[in-house]
Amino acid sequence: MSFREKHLWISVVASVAVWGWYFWFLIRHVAAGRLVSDHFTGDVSLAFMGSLVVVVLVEVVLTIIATATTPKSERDTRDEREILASLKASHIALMALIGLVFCVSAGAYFAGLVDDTLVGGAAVFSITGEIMVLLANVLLACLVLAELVRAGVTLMLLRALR
Amino acid sequence: MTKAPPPIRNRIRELRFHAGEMTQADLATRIGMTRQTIVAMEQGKYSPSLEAAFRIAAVFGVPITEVFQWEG
Repeated sequence: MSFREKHLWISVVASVAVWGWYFWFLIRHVAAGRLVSDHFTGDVSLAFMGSLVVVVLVEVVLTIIATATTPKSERDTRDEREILASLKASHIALMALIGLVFCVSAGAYFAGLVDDTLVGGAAVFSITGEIMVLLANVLLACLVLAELVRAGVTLMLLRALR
Repeated sequence: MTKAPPPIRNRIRELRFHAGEMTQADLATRIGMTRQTIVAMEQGKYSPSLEAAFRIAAVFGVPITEVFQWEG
């Protein structure tokens, strides 16, 4: 396995573990009806900062291990096959991100439309600080998913071109 | 996702053998590529760029057509 592949696996594992936990925490909070709690924004912000620190630490530690177990000549080399796989995967990830952001935008638009015209601003998704935090997290989930698509497709292409 | 191999045949494995059984890692180092890319080329799963093809031919000291042949 090349250094590039190891690094991609590190990214996938760290993202799935840490962001997986974070979004599970968020979903549990929302499902438990804490969206309207005074502590919602604080709790979520704390969990986000903690996740950010942990994901960076996990990636740094695993990258140090990968560096130590890969010969220097292989670490420094990033050849055309890897660049090609990376470019193709980035294109697919960008399309996925556009699709996801479009869906979120459409969802927000229709939620606003329903709220404004049908229930007169009384719906649970009426604009509040908590809803903005929730929307920010949905967009963060889109970014994490797009990054996972990029890493996953790059790994798949590197395997196919071997 | 897996496509048919490109119609370009190569003699890299054979040329390595004749070059004192040069390893894939040695060839990769000499042309600035990874060993996995040499493996992919030898298996016909990846066709290198023109620049990489010239580098490979230069390592073996042969014309590029001695290394790569179009089968289309």
